[in-house]
Amino acid sequence: MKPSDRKLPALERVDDFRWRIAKTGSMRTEGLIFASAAQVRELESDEALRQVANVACLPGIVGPSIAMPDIHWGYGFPIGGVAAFDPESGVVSPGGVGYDINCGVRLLTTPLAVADARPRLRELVDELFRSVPSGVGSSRADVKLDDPQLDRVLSGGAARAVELGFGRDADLEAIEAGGRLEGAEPARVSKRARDRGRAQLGTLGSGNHFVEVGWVDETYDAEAASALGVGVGTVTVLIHTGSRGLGHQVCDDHLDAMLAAAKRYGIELPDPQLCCAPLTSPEAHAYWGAMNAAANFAFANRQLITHFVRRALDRVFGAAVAGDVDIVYDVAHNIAKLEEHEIDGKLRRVCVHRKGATRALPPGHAELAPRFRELGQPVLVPGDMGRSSFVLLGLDRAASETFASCCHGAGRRLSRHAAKREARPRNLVRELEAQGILIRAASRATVDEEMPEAYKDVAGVVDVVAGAGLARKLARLRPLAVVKG
Amino acid sequence: MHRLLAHTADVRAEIAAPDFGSLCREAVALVRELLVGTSPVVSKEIRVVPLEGEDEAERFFRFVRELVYLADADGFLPADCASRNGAVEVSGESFDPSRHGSERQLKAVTRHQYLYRRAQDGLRAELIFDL
Repeated sequence: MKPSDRKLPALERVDDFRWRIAKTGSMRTEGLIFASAAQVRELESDEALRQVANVACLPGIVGPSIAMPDIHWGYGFPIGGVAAFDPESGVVSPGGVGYDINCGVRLLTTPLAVADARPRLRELVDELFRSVPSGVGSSRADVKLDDPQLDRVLSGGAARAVELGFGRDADLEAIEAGGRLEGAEPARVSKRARDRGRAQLGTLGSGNHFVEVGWVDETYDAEAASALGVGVGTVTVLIHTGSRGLGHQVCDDHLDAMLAAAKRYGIELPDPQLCCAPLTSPEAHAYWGAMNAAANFAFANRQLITHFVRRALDRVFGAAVAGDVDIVYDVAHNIAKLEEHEIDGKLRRVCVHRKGATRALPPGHAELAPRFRELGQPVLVPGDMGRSSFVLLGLDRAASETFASCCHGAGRRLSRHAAKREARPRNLVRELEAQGILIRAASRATVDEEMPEAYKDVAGVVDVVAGAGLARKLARLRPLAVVKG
Repeated sequence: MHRLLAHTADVRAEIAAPDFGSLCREAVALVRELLVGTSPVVSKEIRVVPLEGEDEAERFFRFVRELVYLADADGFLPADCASRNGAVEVSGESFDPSRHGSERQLKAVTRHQYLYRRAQDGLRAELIFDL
């Protein structure tokens, strides 16, 4: 019997925004899914629900196997999944992080107003397309690292990029974990991973990665939005990418070791892509050191892209504009981290896997830089290239219910194959341009596969996390120009 | 024969061929199409991929994984292949943006719902690629 022939788990409604998968069979805990009734109807035939149940079978899971409203079918873990594990009895799973380790989103603000940007938008998007390599074979000839230099990036993350002249110290305050994760061990990153990533620092990749110029068209708390620089009319730049080939290879390298480890430690796997090892094991330590190094590479990658975005703005609008480009925030949405959370009234250290999910710290959290402490952590939720994206702020409910996690995007509703078929007779670039959105892409295939209709409406996803009290809406962004791989 | 199947986020593909060597050739054609579409790729150089793994299914999986690696690490586009002495010789050339279209980068081939089986008419495999 093919895995997909097995019956999908049933959902029980908890309230308007929460659904439960009861603990059955080898599940060690229940599943908790954040979704509206309409989203659940779309989900009921989706493999993602089985993946929520599969994650609940892993040893040492603490609390429920959680899914956000942008949940969709991944491999191993669902995309939009969150799961925490006890550091003594639990596991770490590369499938719970994903191939693109520390894939994430960064939001920049510019001093430009929409009216200033529009007349030179074509020039800007062309400059961005030239400045940030994307698509098949994307690499940089101007940033190539030898092994000692690469080691310093793997240890130092965005901070090392700033030391090398790609940005400024103030940038680091607005990055999750300051743009550098502890526990990175460059020696754990294989030669194959280094060879894949060496020339890819400062590149975008392809698929759903992008650099998007947008503007704030609505705010939901004008004072807080203004404090974070996202007042109505502000022109923004959203960057979505990760650790490139280096991270993909780290995942691949360790999956084989984890498959063997799962057998060795007697862990039953409902899906081989969920392979994992006890957090106390040598296999887990090896992955942990390499994963954190790859995460730092991703932070450095987004830092370099920020530098090249500033340079593009300088070329088109001048140094004064480029010098006034700030980071609102930078969040990872594919990561595993050791974090402290209050569980049953006690502070506990747990290993939180977020695969297609964003950290969402509430106001007052000690880990937030002073400028965010009163407001809570900005949560960046990109939508599709035709509609909107959102900036949210983390709330206490996320801390108590989801290990301080929130959604990460719109979530796909069409397969790439189906999207391409639907897009084939159309000219999406022209259609979007008619709506005032310029597209520059390395390939037509990516534009077609990433068509707006391929995604759920992100507004519906955000309404669920807001309704459930995980985060509150701060600002809505509309796209003006998008660079795709 | 190879064809794409529905998958919400990534690319799921089915490959079928009468024997292992032909299955590898179909995998080469699939990976090439995913990377550069219908752009012609010429056999200019050879990369030797050792066949490793405890059984045929694992050896095939690792072969496809190596095609993804060669494309990303070296920009190597596969054109054709031939099995010899426990290895597959893959012929192809480097990605050249002036001659090759850019369809999509491949992050990895995953083990999620990986299927490899003998059918009446030969071998069939199903793979999901992460993009």
